[in-house]
Amino acid sequence: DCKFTFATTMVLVLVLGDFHIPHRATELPENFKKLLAPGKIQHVLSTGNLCIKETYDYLRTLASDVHVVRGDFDENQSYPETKVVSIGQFKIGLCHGHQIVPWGDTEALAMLRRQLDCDILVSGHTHKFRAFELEGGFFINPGSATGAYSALNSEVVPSFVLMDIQGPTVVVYVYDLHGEEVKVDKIQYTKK
Amino acid sequence: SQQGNNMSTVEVVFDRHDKVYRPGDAVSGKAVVYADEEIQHAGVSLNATGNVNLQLSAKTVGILDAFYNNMKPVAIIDIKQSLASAGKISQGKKEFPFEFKLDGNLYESYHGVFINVEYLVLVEVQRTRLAKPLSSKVDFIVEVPASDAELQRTSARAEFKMMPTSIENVQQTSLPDIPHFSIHGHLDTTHCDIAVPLTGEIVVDESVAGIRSLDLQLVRVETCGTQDGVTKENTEIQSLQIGDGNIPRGLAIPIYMTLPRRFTCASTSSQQFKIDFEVNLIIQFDHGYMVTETFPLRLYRRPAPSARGRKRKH
Amino acid sequence: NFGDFVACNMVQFEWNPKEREYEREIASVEATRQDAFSSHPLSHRITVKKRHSVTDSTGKDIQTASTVIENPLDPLTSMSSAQNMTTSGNIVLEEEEGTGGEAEWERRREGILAKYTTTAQIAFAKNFLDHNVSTPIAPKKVERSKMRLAQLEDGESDQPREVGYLTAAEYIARIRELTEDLKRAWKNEERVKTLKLAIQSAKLLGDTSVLSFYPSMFVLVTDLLNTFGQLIFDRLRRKGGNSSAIGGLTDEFDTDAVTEQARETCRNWFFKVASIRELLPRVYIELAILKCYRFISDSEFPNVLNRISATIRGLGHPVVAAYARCYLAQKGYELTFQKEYLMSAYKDTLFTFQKMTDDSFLEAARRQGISTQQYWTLYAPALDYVVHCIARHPTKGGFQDLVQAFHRSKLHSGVVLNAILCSYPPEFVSPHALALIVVIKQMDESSFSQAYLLSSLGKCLVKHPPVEEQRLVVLNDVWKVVTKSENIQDYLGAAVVYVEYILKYLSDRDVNAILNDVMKHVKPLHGVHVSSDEKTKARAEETQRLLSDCVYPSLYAIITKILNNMNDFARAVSLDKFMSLLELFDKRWKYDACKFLLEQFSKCEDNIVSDPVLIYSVFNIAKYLHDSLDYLSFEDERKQVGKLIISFIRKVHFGRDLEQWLSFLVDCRRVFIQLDPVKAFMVMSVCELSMRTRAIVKGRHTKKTAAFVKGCMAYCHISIPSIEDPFTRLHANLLCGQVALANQCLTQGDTFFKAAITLVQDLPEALGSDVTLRSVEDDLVSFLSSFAAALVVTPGHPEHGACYLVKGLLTVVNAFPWDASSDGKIRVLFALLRLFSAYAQKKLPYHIDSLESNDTMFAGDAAYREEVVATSNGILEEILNELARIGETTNPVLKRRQGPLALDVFNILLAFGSLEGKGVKLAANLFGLAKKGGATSSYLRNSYNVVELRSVSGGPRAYTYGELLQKISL
Repeated sequence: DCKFTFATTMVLVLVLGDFHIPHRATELPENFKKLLAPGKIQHVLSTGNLCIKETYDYLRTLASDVHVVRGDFDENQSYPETKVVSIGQFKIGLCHGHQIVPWGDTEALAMLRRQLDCDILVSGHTHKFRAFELEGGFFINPGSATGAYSALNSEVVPSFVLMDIQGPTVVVYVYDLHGEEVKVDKIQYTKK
Repeated sequence: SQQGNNMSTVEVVFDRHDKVYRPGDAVSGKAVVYADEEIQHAGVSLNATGNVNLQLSAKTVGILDAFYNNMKPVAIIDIKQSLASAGKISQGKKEFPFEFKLDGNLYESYHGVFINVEYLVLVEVQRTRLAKPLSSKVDFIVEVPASDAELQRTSARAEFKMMPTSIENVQQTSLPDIPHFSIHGHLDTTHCDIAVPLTGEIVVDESVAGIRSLDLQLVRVETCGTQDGVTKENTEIQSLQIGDGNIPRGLAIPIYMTLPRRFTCASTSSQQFKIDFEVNLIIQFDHGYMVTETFPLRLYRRPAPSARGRKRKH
Repeated sequence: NFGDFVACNMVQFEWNPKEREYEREIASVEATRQDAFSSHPLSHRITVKKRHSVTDSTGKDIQTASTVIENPLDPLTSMSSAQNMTTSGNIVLEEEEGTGGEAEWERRREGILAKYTTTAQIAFAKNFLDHNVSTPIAPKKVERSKMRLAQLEDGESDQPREVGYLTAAEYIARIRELTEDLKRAWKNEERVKTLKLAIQSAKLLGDTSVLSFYPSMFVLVTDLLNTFGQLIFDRLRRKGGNSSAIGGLTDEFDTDAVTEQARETCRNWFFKVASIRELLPRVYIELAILKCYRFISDSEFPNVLNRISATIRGLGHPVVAAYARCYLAQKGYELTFQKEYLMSAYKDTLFTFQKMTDDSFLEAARRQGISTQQYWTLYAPALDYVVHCIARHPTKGGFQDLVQAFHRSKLHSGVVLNAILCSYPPEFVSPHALALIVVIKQMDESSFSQAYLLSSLGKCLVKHPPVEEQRLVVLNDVWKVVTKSENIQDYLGAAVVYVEYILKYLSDRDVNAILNDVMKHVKPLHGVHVSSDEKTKARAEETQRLLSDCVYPSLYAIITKILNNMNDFARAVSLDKFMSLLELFDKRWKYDACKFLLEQFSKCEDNIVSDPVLIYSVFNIAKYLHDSLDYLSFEDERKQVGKLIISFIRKVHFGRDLEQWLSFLVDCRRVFIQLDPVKAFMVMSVCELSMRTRAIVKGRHTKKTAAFVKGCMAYCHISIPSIEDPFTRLHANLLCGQVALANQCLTQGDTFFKAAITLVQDLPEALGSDVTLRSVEDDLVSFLSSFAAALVVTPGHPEHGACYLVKGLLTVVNAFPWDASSDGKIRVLFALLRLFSAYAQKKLPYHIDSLESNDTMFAGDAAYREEVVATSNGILEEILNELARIGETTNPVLKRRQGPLALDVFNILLAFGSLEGKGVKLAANLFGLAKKGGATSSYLRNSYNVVELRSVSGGPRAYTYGELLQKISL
């Protein structure tokens, strides 16, 4: 006979932000929504610029544990500028990034990571996915989930990130939307 | 049954929970003694009695006469038994079973105004020396099934029709003053199984005046025979309203009455006394007058197996 | 003194920005991506470990490796769908129970209490229990004389002599008190008192002096009686079990399990009840404890119910009788499926009504100020419920019996027919629609409204339409009657129902026709105006009441039905008469209706709306809402409306016709002038248009698109000043500036940035009112940081110099009245120092396509580099001054910030400074300051570690970092 067993220890962390709803986009792309069924994900980390409460409410439908930092266009003034969340063996720092000069600079981000004392620093604002490892830290920018334009670019690829945390290792899945097609890549990082 | 502190008591418990017995039945039970200390006794005895108590009504003989002239009870049964000879009862509970047979010319238990038929069991524990005996007196109920002859009487359906002209105590000349009405109906039977409610129907076909109330009044007719003659008294047992207000014309209103236990019994007739029943149908009209129709009833008890787990019709 | 120490060090230090090669740096660390399409966690394909136990020839198990299998449902999804199945199963069960007698009655009772109330005073005995309850066995002599009458009169004096009067609310409270009394008496084993209380309460239902309250009285009193019945039942059940049933009988006990003693107790209860003299309490009390017959017999219920049903005939007042039948139905429902007693109750009712043509009861009601129609409505709750119970497990035959009895009675009683129409499932009723209409037409309008009956019929038709070819005929037949109805309430009630019928089964043309008719009926009401003349005034007030209680709600309901049924906002709005319906409302209702419409619009599936007619209609709706707001409107209301308007504007989409789009936004700006979020949104929409244009031309504008973008920028320029919130305005300017740059509108960009700088200058120190008052500094720091980052790509001015905007900003920052107890200024200076370290690079960290930034404009310009270095030094000096100031402050909170801030400066030196010259020494001093000044240990450690890491990295500055490492310690 044959037996099926499901892997059970997955901790899935959804990382996404820069929705700019309704100012620059109407809603999350349909193809993304279809992927994000409720109940699969344990934590949501958002880099901000959800802008309106409805977007936050949507994130709450995906997981009960939702963390948001404040972007420059968030109407909710109570989101903090930065936040550190511990998940499994990882300390994850969160900051929108509009206040990081220059935007997306490795040195500037590294400095913030030292300040927040985290293993992974998640930031946004540039609307461009990026992940890199520097001086023992890991940095992720999930891009804009809606593909909203940025100050520097009018053609933005919608993207978000899903982190699968298992022990000291995180597998980062990058979801890009090209037209109607979702492309998925993965990056693995192990804490030293 | 506990009478205060440091008191021993005796209690009578019948084997039948409802304490209902019929002629030929063995009445059984036990006398239960609760002794809170050791009791020396001169014997435990039982006395079962059945009596008909008659009383003259005040109306017939005047208040004082009525008070003093209670007639002598008529004994129906008087059974004496010794349940135990002299001895000791140690502290605690002790039971003395008894059993006697119900025989003879029995009357049904009945609770009336001038006539009462009562059956009692008295148990006494005779104490030595000056101590008062322990005693307990409890009634039980006797039901007497009807004879075959009684049962073979045909069911007597009673039809009635009421209208101004049918009123007995109205003079012909005042008839035109009475607003017209026409009422008809029936009792299913006036020969009634006492366990079955009295039933029938009444229809107000026409009535110029409004109707206030339709009532059924159950009445007992108690007759006591004396040397001087006979006194007869009608008293109400219960009254039930079956129509309230200006009921629709032409609608058959049910007549329905459950015969109350203890206050009714099978119609009884003996040399010293008689118990009969009748029912009055009373129609009250708006302007303060009323019309009554009386139906004599003959009640009987069905000999069906009924003492245990019987089902009554409601 | 650390301050002096640092300042003294500073004089000898010159800022040297570290050279950066942004692209190379990032490229060297960027993580590599692997394709993961086939196995990512959100995939519907999931990896499962599949262990085949296959035995090979040697008898050993062979285990195959993990394989990927196709599974259409992942475990979570399949789990949730399994759950759905079970829960839906439960729901079905609950629904079946939910339609049961008790639940159904619970649903109705609230409605009855709300509908049947009175302003009259209701009699209530003050000495509720004091007077004698006739004891059945009192030996009363029977006198065949007129005395008997007096005696009976005396019996009547059971009626309370001392009477108080209560309002409806007091009456309700009184019954509640009585219920508590009853429970208390029962608890204290006062059986006789409990029974007396129940009897006296039941007798209250004989009072028909305030008929309009009677249905509510019935609800209240039967609640009490139910409590009474339950108390008795529960005790019997608790004590009535044989020894095998410890702790009482189970819910579904069998009669055989009841002890003889419990049976006897129960029989005694029924004997007691059977001897209650008066008919009404006897009926009610027996019904209240009816359930207890279960202790005596399982099979008696049909007989008992039939008997009680017949007994009720003796109740002369038809309203009293009708409600007694209702209680009978309620109590019978839970005990038997048999319906004979109900049918006979129903037929008795028909008979009674038939006899009531010359009705004294109706006369009496009229004296209480009750109209004929109102009088018949009094029967509705009772009759509806009885018929509802008859319609339980309905059969065709049962339905026919009911209808035939109705026909045979030759009684055209609306209230009866209505009960049938409301109670039977539509599939029974609808096939007879045409015949029913004929019957309804013959009914006496003065006793029951034909339009109302047709509404009830309509509700069936909506759920179960007649056959195709009859649908229009039915409507025409119905509407011929309804349209003639003089009662606007009934007319509109029918209109609401038949609008839905038409929407479901007929054409939009028919919807228009009915709407047209509705308008014809409603419009005249608006003509009645309040005047000084008393009589017309009263009439006007009456009309006003009718409008707000009935007309507006009905119209609102019609609108709701249209939208819900069409499920297509555009189609609804395109109905000729739809928008005109809105004009029939008064201000408040129109506001609510418009809000509802806009809500529906924002919810509707289509995210893109470009139909000009639809846009025009919704625009007007939004405009009405917007214009209705005033300074009295609640903040929350303004927010909601703002959101709705935004979602409307968001949906409007003209594809590539960007000019039309812009002109739409121009229209919007003209109208939506009083809501900040809307104004900000319009500006951002225009920004989006510009960026969309840029995307279309791939960053290379044509003359035409350049002009269009300039138009957009002009729009923003005009609009932003009307935004009230200063920060919204600041961010809008910054955004517009960046969008202008991205579209090569350099002059406009400058204008926006300058405007932002000016705004900072005028910013108040705190915003909000009393409670919400908050310092602007944190927000300002965040904004200015973002501004600094935006200035990285902003080209200098050919005349005013490369750094003129930054310098303007710097001036404003220095001039800003920073709170002496905050570190706001130093944090802004950090941002500016970082900006200048970017300016110092040969190539900037980021660019905008086809825009020349300072790195190309001033490439190789020594003066530019000098200026950058000089300004950097100025900023650094200012930073160290601030640090010194913070060290000297007496404010303990601020003082504790010195260490962390010193560490920030240390890190900025590491990140952006070259550490040449005295740099190492300064850095070491800062680290020392941080250590002593209370910087967190983790931040210190991380900073130390990075120096260590870099000293051994073999990079170009490893030696310098090594030097620094010598000078610092943890």
